Parts: sequence; C-alpha cells; structure tokens
Amino acid sequence: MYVTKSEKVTSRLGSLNEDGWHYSGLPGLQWEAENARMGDRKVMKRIVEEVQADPRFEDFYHACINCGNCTAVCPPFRLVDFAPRIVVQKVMHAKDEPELLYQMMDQYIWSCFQCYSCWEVCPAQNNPGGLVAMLKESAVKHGLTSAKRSLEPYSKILYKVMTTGTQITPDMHSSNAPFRDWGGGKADLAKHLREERAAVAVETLAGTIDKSWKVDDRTMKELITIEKEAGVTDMVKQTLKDVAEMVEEAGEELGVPK
Amino acid sequence: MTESQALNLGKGDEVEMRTVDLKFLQKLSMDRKAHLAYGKVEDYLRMLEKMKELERSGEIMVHHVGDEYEPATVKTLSGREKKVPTVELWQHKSCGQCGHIPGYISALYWIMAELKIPYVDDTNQTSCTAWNYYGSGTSNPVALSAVFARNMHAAYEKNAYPLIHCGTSYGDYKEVRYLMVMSREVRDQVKAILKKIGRDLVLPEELVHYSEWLHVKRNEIAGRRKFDVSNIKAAVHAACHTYKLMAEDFTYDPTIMEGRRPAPTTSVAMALGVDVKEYSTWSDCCGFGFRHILTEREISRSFAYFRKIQPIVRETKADVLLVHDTGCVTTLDKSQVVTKAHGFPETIPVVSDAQFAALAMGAHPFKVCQLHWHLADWKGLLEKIGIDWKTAETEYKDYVQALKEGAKPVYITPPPRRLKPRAKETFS
Repeated sequence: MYVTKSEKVTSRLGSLNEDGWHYSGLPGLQWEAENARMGDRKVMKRIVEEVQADPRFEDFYHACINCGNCTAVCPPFRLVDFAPRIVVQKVMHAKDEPELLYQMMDQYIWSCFQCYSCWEVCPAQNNPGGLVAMLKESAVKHGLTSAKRSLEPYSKILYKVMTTGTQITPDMHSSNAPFRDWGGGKADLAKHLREERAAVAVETLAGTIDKSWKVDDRTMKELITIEKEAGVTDMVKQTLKDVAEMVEEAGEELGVPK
Repeated sequence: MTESQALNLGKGDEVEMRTVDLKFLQKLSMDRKAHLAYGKVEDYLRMLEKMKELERSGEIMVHHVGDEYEPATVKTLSGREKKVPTVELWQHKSCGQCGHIPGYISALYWIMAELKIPYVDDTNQTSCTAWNYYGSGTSNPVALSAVFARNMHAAYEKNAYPLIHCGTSYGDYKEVRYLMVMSREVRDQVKAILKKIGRDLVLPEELVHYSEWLHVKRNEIAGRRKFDVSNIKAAVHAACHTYKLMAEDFTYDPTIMEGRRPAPTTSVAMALGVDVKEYSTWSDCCGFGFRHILTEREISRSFAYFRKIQPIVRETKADVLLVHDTGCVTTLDKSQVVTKAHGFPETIPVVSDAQFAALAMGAHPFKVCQLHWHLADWKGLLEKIGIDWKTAETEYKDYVQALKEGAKPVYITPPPRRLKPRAKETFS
C-alpha cells in the first residue's frame, strides 16, 4: 500500500536528469547525483546523527515554515544556485532521508557566504547560516570530495590561520601572489612591500611580513595545542592531509608533541 | 511639498510612500525584529543571567566592566543596557586588517593616543580563527571557544578590557560565549584544554566592538576635528557579523536614524557633521563570503559591485563609503578594480570609520591612515575635505627613505597605563 523508504529514495535519485536537477527539471537543488549514488549510507546516517546531537543544533534549527524570507535576503541566491530555505528543509527531513542532506553537503552548501542575513530574518528563529557552518564542518571531518575541492586553493590561508592565528599576511601580496586582480596600485605596493611595511606606525605590525602582526612563539604554541586537543588537526587531516601535517611539524618546532 | 520615496516590494513592484511613513515603517520593522526573535532575545538574556550564576558558584570567572574602565552605557537591539569600557583597552586585532589595510588599526590607535586613552597592543594574541570556521568548516565549537577563552584570559592577565576590532571575531565570540555558558559539555572540554595551556576560564561581562567605542566617544572626537567635513556626503555599510550574528547585542540609538539602523559608524559620521545618505541595498552584505573573496572572486566581486558600490554611487552620490569591518573594507575597496576595467564607471573610496574620523581630526593620510594601501581613488575625497595629500605624500616618501637609511621609526604611543597586570603568566 505504501512505498518503502528505499523505494522512495531510489525513485527520487532516478528522477534526477543528466544535469543533476531534481523535480523534473524545475529550479531547485543541484545534486551531486553520481556521488550520492555511490555514497556510503552508514556515513550518511552518521553525519545526520552527529549534526542532530551537536549542542548548537537545538538553537539553530526549529522548524521551517517555508516562508522564504531567508532566501529573499541571501546574497549568493542572487548569483548562484543556493537557497538557505532548501538547506533548512533538507535538515528537517534528514533523519528520514539522510541521502538528501548528504547530496546537499557535497557541493551546494559551499556557496554560502556565512553572512547570517538569513538568521536575522527567520520568523521561526532558524539559523540557516549556522546549519551550513555545521554541515561544512561535517564535510571536512568526513573528508567529502567537495570539501577537498573547495579547500585546496585555500590551503595557504588555512595553514597561516592554524599556525599563526593571522592571515592575508603581507607576503601574500608579492607579485606572484593570488591578488593580481586587485590592480596596478596593489602591484606597486607589492614592489616596495618591505619599505611600506616598515613604515606602518604600529610597533606590533611594523616590518612583519609573514604574519599580520608579531605573534609570540608561546602564543602560537598555545594555538596549535588547542587545535590538536579540540580535534581540529585530525579533522583537517581527513580533507587536506598535507596541511594538517605541516601544522603538526610547526607545532613540533614550538614544542607541541604530535 | 511632502517628500516621498519608492519602497521596493520585490519582483519589480514599487509603492510610493511619504518619506516620513517609510521611516516609521522601517522603525516598526526594527522593533518587530527585536521582538520577533523571541527565543533569541530571551535566551540571550537568560544566558547573561546564567553567566552570573556560574560566577557565583565559582565555575567560571567573569571579567567585569568595572569603574576602572570608565564605562559608558549604550542600548542594544534587545533594549538591554550595555557597558562599553572606554579606557585601559586590550586591542584584539583583526587578522583580516593588519596585513593589508594597516591604516585601519593605526588610525584607531592614533585617535586613542590623541584622546589620552591607555591601551595594550599585545603580541600574545591570536585571531579568533573563525575565518577558518566560517570560510571552510575547518574548526569546531570547542576549538573556537578555547581560542576565545585563551585570548580573553590573556587580556584578563594584563588587566585590560578586550576591544574587538573585527566584526567576525565580535560575532563569533558572542556565539561561543553563549555556547560555553549554556552547554556544560562544551565548557568542560574547553576547561580541560585551558588547563593544558595553563589558563583559566574567564568570560568577559560584555563583548565590545571597536565601533561601539568610537560611538560613545563620537562627541569627543568631533570636538577635536581639524577639518570641516560638513560638505561631505557619506554612505555607511554596517558589517553583517556585528548586527546580524547574534543581533540582540549590538548598539542602537533612537537619536541615530530613529533607531532603524545600528548606531555605530553612522553616529560618528553624523557627530562630525557629515551628511549620511541612505540607499536601497543598505542591509545587503558586502559580498565577502570568507573563502569566496580568496578563491571564488567572481561571485564576491559581482555582489560587492552590483549590490553595493553601483547602487550607492547612483543613489547617493556619496563622497565616501564608511565601513566598520575589515572584510567589508577589503571586499568593497578591492572589488572596484576589475569592474572599472570592464567599463563600469561607478567608484567610491572605502575607508573605516576610524580612518575617516582620524582624517577629520588632522591625522596624516599616509603615515597614520595608510591610505596608499587602499585601491579605490580617495584623492578627490581628501581634496574635498581640504587635505593637501600631495604634500603629505612627499612627507611620507621622505619618511620611508629616511627609514631605509637607518632612521628610527616613529610609532604611535599610548599614554602610560594606570592599571597593573594581574598575574604572572604561567604557560611554558
């Protein structure tokens, strides 16, 4: 009389078109369909359990009334296929259909700007941006392909923040650094970076090139210890192994045991 | 004739309203927003009560905004009175500003030195590391909370009150303080980590953004202006993470745009005599997006230009865009280069409220405000204020040359501190 859950899921996955669009091609969620088909259901279920057991979950998720206020104010929605309402909806149904959450985690969520405009306007007090942050964290922890793809170009920033607690450091403005589209003014500045940096009138900033300000070794040691003890280094290892190992090496140099 | 404005209802629909009615509607919507978030406001106030209980039971220590910090009082969106410390500040620097827009921080320090405000600029500080969390999911609540707690403990040891420069750090710290107070599980894990690094759990009674400090000091700042800036028109962009991320606790004031917008930054400009202009996309974010500004630049830049810069210039004809967050300055300033190359003519200088206030007070545009790190053309703004930027540029170049030849650098120096550090630091 009723379709089983697995029949329902098979039927939904089968209805994705070649471009990965669901709901007969109507605008909606763009799935990483192939990955989801190959995905490990145990991992999918574990992700849902972890998200729902998180101490933030009961503050971030209540129940979506589908009003769309969040999507109306969402910056990425104006430019790419991303809607915070969809995120909350998928979280709402995640227990019964973990595949839906998993598919969304595999690409969709990485468009979020984390501006929290959605949280401010939700009449049901949901925090879609907060849910996305939790899901990104879970994607990194479980080493999802999309997390690797999204974070690879970001490796240097990740390393800088994890080891020094600072980033967008002056040495990232050299002529071969990733800010060439900031124009000729920036290029001129890059040519005389050391002189310009030496002339900054704040003693903790003046002359620092590889960090944003002078950071004590002891401070960096504490930071790396926190990341190790809180499980961040292990988590990053699942997605960007090289970065995590470099952080561990930096920690060892400062006296943090591996 | 009664002044009227069009209210955009979306999907191309507009309704013509009297300006006075539109302002009333916006005020009503702000009031409703504060009350709509029933759970949020009440939970936040409950959290503050619970923090007091935890302090009484000896489970945590609280860093109070005592009289030694000469606090001023402001009202937040929730209607709560919030204490803003004004002296003996521990400068919580921003990872997004110090490396490439150093004038942001030097202008703030310069203002403080001019107003004889003692402060601590500590090298024993990390950023909040929430850039990694929001940008890439590469942190977790326990790590973020522990980083927050270590920085707050470092400030407590120095007997100085944390003043947070970055909007994201301010928002993140509000989130993790809430989490640590409300969740015993998170609190216990953080305490165990802090023990390993020889620190205790000390939570600040109030979390204060630097723009709130400028807000309470605005009249003093205005009293020291050297240039008449009443001919300047400004647009203001408030950072999402100051007033949307745990919205309850940011400063609002009924005398500043009738309380329809957050008070800081706008209030400073108004106190200086600037004509602050409104625009239709006021509440939109800057387009920063954390990871996007670095690795998915097209989306970040497109949003910044077409939702902020272009409408601001077209609607307000403002001379300057004033901002109070490092990520926003970066995005809004840097996103004007490629669009200009593609033939979009609208451009506007982007500076922080601190930089603008310092300029009005007579700060050096290069040595102090470091405007040469900004990309959108600011020369027209300086000329309109009456600042001779050409002479200033020559002075700065001479200074850089002198430094190269071994001259001693000149740093901004605060007045001596009145409070002594609390305890010897124990971590080794």
